[in-house]
Amino acid sequence: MRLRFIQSLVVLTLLNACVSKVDNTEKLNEKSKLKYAETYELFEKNGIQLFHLVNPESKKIEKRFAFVKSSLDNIPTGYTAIQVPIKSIIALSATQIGMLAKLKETRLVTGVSNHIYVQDQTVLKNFKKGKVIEMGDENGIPVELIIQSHANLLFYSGFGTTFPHEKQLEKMNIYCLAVYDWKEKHPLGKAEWIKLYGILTGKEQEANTYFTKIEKEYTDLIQKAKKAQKHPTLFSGNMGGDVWNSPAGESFNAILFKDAGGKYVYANTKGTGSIQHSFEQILKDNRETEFWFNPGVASKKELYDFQSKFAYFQAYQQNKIYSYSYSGNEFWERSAIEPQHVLSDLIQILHPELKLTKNYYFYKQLTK
Amino acid sequence: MILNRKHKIIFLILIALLPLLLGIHLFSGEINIEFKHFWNAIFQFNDTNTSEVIVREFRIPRMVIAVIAGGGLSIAGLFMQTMFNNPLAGPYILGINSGSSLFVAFSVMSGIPFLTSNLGTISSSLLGAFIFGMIILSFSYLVKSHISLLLIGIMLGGFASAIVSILQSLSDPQELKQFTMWSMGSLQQVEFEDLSIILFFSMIGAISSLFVIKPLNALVLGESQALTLGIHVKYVRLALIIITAILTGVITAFCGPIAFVGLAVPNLVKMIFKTQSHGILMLGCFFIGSLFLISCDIIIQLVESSIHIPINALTSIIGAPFVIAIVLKRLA
Repeated sequence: MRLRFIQSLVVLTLLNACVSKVDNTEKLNEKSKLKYAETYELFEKNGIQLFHLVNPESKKIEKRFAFVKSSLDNIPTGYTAIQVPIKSIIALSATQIGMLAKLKETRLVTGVSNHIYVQDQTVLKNFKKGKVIEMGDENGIPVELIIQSHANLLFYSGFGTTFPHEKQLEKMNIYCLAVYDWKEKHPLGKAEWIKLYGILTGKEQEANTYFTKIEKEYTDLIQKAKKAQKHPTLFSGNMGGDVWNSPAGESFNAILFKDAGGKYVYANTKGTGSIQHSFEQILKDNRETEFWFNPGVASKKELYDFQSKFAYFQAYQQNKIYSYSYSGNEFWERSAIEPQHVLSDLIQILHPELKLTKNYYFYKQLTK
Repeated sequence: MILNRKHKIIFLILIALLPLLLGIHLFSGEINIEFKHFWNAIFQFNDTNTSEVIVREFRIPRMVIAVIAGGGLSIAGLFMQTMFNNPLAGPYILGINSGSSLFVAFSVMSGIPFLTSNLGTISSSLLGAFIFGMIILSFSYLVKSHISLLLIGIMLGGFASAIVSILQSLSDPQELKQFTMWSMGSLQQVEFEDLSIILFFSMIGAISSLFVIKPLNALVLGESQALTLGIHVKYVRLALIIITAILTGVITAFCGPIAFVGLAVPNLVKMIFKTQSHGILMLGCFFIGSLFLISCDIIIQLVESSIHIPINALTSIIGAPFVIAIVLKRLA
């Protein structure tokens, strides 16, 4: 056992040594294997999977990994070699757990931010057994906890910065990877991150098959939505302090609304993140808007308690408010990898006449 | 209260400025609204007209609370400065706002329906302000140094913040969000229906203030001098803490913490009026405090479409350099 541990250390140290600095704007001549995702790239060269993490803002390559199954030969210059399949993972975001769950690999998770945000039963069972450690907020995780988790790879959200102590952790062969799925513009771009999880867990084939399936379902649903005669108006979001946060016109939410045949009030705004308006402006623009999506609460009463002025919205008066925030963190764990189900919900809500005849996967109408 | 010619001129200017700034404030929102809708919103309200809804539900409550919060916090600050004979005293720096925040945090994050309601938040805020006011008053008997008392106030604030941080780490996301939003400070969360409660408590505070003018004038001469003038200093101090708690508590409950108004405005008023008469100073605090907060909110409204500035941040940006200037002037 001890001998194997020493062998692993030697191999990992050798792998780690295969890194040298390269120009971050340099790209491979080959085309990335991905179709929708823009925040990472995948290539295959001499049987090695090459991974580029692309900064969502600057579009520069932040990291280069070479995922190797056995041989250390032929690793291109500038790539950090990581042996796959990975033995254990820290997943700080619910989306990452959802992706692993789809590949039935959540047993690999040894660290999460907080167990109350986890829905996956395997992770929760392992947490109870003490096999999964709570790490806390991404920016304040003690290094000792990370080491204690025996993880090889740490997934974090990467809200604009590198992971604290990243360099020191790499020296201990714990690699940190910002998962920018939340920055993807297209719902299928988010979902396409499953291909990375497939490579990391040794389930590349399963991941590709699953993605092809959801891509087809998603595009079929778009065709169904196109049959709708009407395009109901809708708005989204809620107050955060004194401002109302809505998805920008080029965001993945706006794309979902468009694909579902809805007329999003702020569809013509620029940007892929969120836009802010005063409540006055929101009321003026949306008093007669038909649907209100994603208010971030579980009941209509909660909305009224928070702000009685919401009662002026037609959508509030006619109970046309739809939220996914009623069932813990389930939406965040599953929606990125099940965009076809989110789209299906939206189409059913906006176009009941199309009679998709399915229950909602994530959404609930807020009537009380 | 005897007004000399200079005071009369200053008050005339302030009285003229107030409606002018109130008018600018009402018209400064992101949306252009015709004058007739302002009139209708008050006298012939039609809730199907969005412009009238915006005036009645957003602009009027926001304007009224700016006047009350600016005036109320400034008067509370004046009381603290006279009571502790310290120009750097104020409800924020002495930890009284922090007491409100701590108790509001307890009530919001308790999950108990009554405590999370408006009435529960107001009660908690008043209680927190009163308890922390009493604590700082008790310390004032033990320490004679002005700086020491301010440091104790800052420590109380730090202590309250630490407890709030622990509560935040234990609370569920929804409660955490609710408290975080409140703690940023805002004049926009007040609703038309809330105005009656705010006006009720503010009137109690204002009327009670009239009864402490004479004792405050005596306290300026020093505690022993006040005693020889027949002032029950102990009771006066208790009364001042209660009035401060009412004013600070109700304003903090609805607007969240607003820094520096209670510290900077009374000093500015003293510099302008150059008097020890607390009748004049209180009136001056009300007008200048209101004008200050109204002006801050006009700035916020004017830049609202491009950047959102929390009221607490703006009052701090303007107030902090002013307070530093006061400290430097005293050292010079």
